[in-house]
Parts: sequence; structure tokens; C-alpha cells
Amino acid sequence: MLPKKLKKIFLILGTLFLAFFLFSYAFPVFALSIPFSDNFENYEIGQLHNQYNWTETYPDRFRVKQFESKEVECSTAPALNCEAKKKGEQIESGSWQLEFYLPPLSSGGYFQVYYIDDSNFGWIGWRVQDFGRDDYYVSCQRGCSGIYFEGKINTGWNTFLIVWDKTIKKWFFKLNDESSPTFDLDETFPYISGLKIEAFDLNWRFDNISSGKITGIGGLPFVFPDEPATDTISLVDFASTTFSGTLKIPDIYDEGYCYELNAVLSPPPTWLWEKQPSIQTIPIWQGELEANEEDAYSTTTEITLDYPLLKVDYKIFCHNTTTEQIETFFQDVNSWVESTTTIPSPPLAPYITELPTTTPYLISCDEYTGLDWLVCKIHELLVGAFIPSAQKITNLKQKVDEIGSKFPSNYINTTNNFIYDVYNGLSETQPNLVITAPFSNATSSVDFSLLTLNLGGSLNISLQQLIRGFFTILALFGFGFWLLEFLGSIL
Amino acid sequence: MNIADGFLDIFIWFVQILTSKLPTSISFFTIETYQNLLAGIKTFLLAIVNSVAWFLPMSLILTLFKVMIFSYLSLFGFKIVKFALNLLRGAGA
Repeated sequence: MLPKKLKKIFLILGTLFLAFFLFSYAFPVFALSIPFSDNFENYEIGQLHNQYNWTETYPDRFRVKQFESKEVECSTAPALNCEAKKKGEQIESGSWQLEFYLPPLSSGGYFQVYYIDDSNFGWIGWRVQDFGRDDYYVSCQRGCSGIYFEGKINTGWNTFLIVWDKTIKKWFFKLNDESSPTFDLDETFPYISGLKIEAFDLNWRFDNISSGKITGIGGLPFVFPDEPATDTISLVDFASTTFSGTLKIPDIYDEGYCYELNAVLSPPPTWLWEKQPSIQTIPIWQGELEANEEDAYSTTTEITLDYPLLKVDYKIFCHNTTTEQIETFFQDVNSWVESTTTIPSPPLAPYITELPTTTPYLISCDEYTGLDWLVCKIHELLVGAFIPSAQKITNLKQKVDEIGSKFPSNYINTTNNFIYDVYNGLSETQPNLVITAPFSNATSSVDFSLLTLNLGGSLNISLQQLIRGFFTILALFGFGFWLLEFLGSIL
Repeated sequence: MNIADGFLDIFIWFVQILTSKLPTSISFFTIETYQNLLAGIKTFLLAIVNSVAWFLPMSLILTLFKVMIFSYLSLFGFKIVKFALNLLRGAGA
């Protein structure tokens, strides 16, 4: 048996691990249960197409997918994170010229750039120790093979060159400013990037950075912001808003007709806008259209909003004459609508995904007779009674989504994102040891990657491998001891 | 009458009441304050962890932590079930 002291140590460690678990796992597990899955694999009455939510379990992972933002206007007060995002296709490499306007700062600051790929949201940025000097720190992790910048960091506009040699899927640009700048993104640019910029000072305040911009080089993504603005932006008036366009039913939908088109207006998420108003649905067309038929619509209505941005989805109601079910289809337009009173038409006719030819679990009883027919009918009755309608599922999803923006779900989601960020922010950056000689500018540095151990004249092990190997063995040993203790407590 | 729809109606009604009663943010500790606080903690934590990650196998250590936590929780769950079963069969806790 293990000595008592060792037992105590294991007991303390176990308690700490349990506390760690409760903090990092119990919360996310609860939060994970809140978002409603869009996967209706076993529920084939209708399919919801590209129905994104503002609130996700991992907003940092998914939020970029949700938005294609042309322009974002910050709130007037208090200061909130001002973000602009755009989605596009991937490129393998590229370079960006990054420009920042820094007002005079009395202290140092902190600056980060993020990349985003399909599954990770990692930190690859640089840290600026002091805006007044050329002292900076660059790190690269999780597969990014090159990120560089040039130039000094001073007050006023600063220009850096970032050379990116990484497959990046998306990019977004994040800055905060109490003076409410406006960031214009080039909507026509088809590419992507994965860039997040956060700037804040050592007190973790966001209000010392005035504005910033990313300028594309050689046809790469670019952002043109206005000069640092001082004017406040008033809320947008959506009075007398017109929805116009053409609704066309694809020939794939040959089992019914569509009778109503609604615009679903979603407010900005809480991290962008401090208020969280409810989603509004506005009917913009009513009629009866079958496959291959089309109808123009133009509806002018007054929208009362207390937020400056909205996202428009289009929702169409159709009736499937075969299954006698009401089917709803969403088209996610994926666009912000800002200071305009004309809502742009959907770029395409409402897209309807291919419908299943049969309803699951329902079989035709016509081919049966006698007792078989009776059993089949009972089966049909039971199945029909226990399969919820698509309308109810959609309704349920909307209601559950609303809870996600309420306390405590939004706090839990935030905690979950925090844990996810910390976990994915781990890097194995080589330490940079620089020693400055007193009373002079001379510096000495140690490059750890060059320190190697030669074994037997043929095997070279780097210092990092050696140290990590030692700690790996140590960790495995410790785990082995714990395992023995744990098994001993069970048996 | 679709029974499933009926159940969903009840659940939706419950969720509606819950949504109407729940606040979006706590007045004395707003979600923005919380987000900013976590942003600070995150950077602080990452700075500490990343400073040792060069020579410590952090991914291995975290994986071992997960295994240990999972083991403790499994044991805890097992003991709860055992406790409940003992109560049910009248054998005492």
C-alpha cells in the first residue's frame, strides 16, 4: 500500500481535478444541451436549410459562419466589441497589410491576431509589450507556418505586413472603440481569411484603440475603415421598409404548393449589441404557387427596432399534398442589413432542399387486407400520433434558441467559450531568452532550438525533446501511481 | 390528435414562461462585464500555461487529467446508483 502522505496528496489532487471538472466540464455539458440540432436525419417531413442561430455553443467557432457582414456600426455607449465579419472561400496563402491607428497611450498595450479554420480558433498573434518601443513578441502555433509583420508601433497610423502561409477559412476583424467607428468591408471580394484582431491595453480595457484597417495587397482581402470617427451613430430607422423580389418554387417540390413567405428578422447577438430583442416575423407574400411557378412580391411595412442592424432570413410555408403536412423552409440570406429602408431581395429563389419521397415509419396500408390491414392501420395511427409536426419542431427550436440568450444560458455559453479558447489557445512556443547588458544596448540571446544532445554520434536530441521527454515520463509515472491508488480504492 | 404535438405544446408553453421570466443579464454583473473579465483571465491563463508548454507536455497532462476526472465521476456515479439500489431494497444506505 502507498504511504499515508502520498494518499493525502492523491486525495488533494483528486479534489482539485474534480473541481476542475465541475468548472470546465459540467458547465459546457449543460450548455451543450441547450442548442437545438439542425440535424433532422430521422425526421424527414421537412428540412431546414442553413438555419443558423445567433447563439451557438461555441460562438468563437461558429460565429463567423453565421454572418456575412458588410458593415458594422458600433453602439454609442457603453463601449461594446465592434466586429465585422465576412465569410468566403479558402486560400492557401496571402499577405495583408495591416494598419492601425493608435491614439497616444500612457502605458503599454496588448494586441492579438487570431486565425480561424474549420475546427479551431487559435491564437497566433503577437504581443506588443510597449507601444512606445519596437519591443514585440511574435508567436505562431497550430500549423501556421509563417506570420510576419514589419514596421514600428507608434501612436498614429501604423502599418504592418502580415504574410500568411496557412489555409485559412474565414476572417473577421474585431476592434472596439467608444467613438463608434464604421468599418467598411469589401463585399465583392470572394476570398477568405482567418483574422481576428483584438486590441486592448494592459488593464484589459478596449477603449484605448481608436480604429484599424486591413488593406489587401495584390488582390487579397481588404478592409477600408473610416478615419477614427468621433460622431455618434444614431439608431437606424427602418420605417417604411420594402421587401421586394421574386419567389420561385423549384421543380423539385412537386408534391404540394407554397402559400406564405415570411421575413424573419434577427437582432444582433448580445456580444455585438447590448440588448437582445426578440426575433420578428413579417409576412411579405401570400398566395399559392406550385413547382416551377413564380410570383413577384413587394410589401412595404414599418419595422420598429431598437437596434441598428438586423439579419434577414426568409421562411416559406408550403403544404405537402402527399403527406398532408405543412412544411417550412428557411433560406438564410446571410447578410446584415444596415441603414437602409429597402431590404434586399433574396439572391436566389427560396431554396428548397430535396424532399424525401416517403415519410419515415409510415407505410401504405392499401396493399394489405384483413387482419394485416388492421395491424397496419394501428401502426399508422400510433406512428402518426407520436411523430411531431414540422411546425411544432420549428416552434420548439425557436423557443429553445430564445433561452440561449437568457440568463444563465448566455453566461454558461460565455464560460464554455472561455474554456474552449483556453484549451485551444495552448501553444508550444519556443521561449525567447534575451538578456540586455546593463548600461549599454548590447543584448545576448539564447536559441533553445540550437541546443542539442548528441547520443552515440548519430542520434541528435534537441533540448526541448529531452526536457519534454523527461516530463512525459514523469507524468506517466505519476499517472501510474494514481491509477494504482484509484484501483486500490475500488477493489 | 397528435400526441407528440401535445407534449411539445406543453414543453413549449413551459419554455415560453421560462423565457419571459428569465433576465438577459444580471444588473450587478452584466454579461459584458463577465465577458471582459473572462477575456482578461483567458489571456492571463494562456500566458502562464504557454510559458511552460514548451517543456511540459501539456496535451498529455490535460489528457491524463481528463482520464482521472472521468474515472472519479464514473466511480461517483456508480456509488450513487449503488446507494439508491440499497435504499430501494431496504438494506439501508
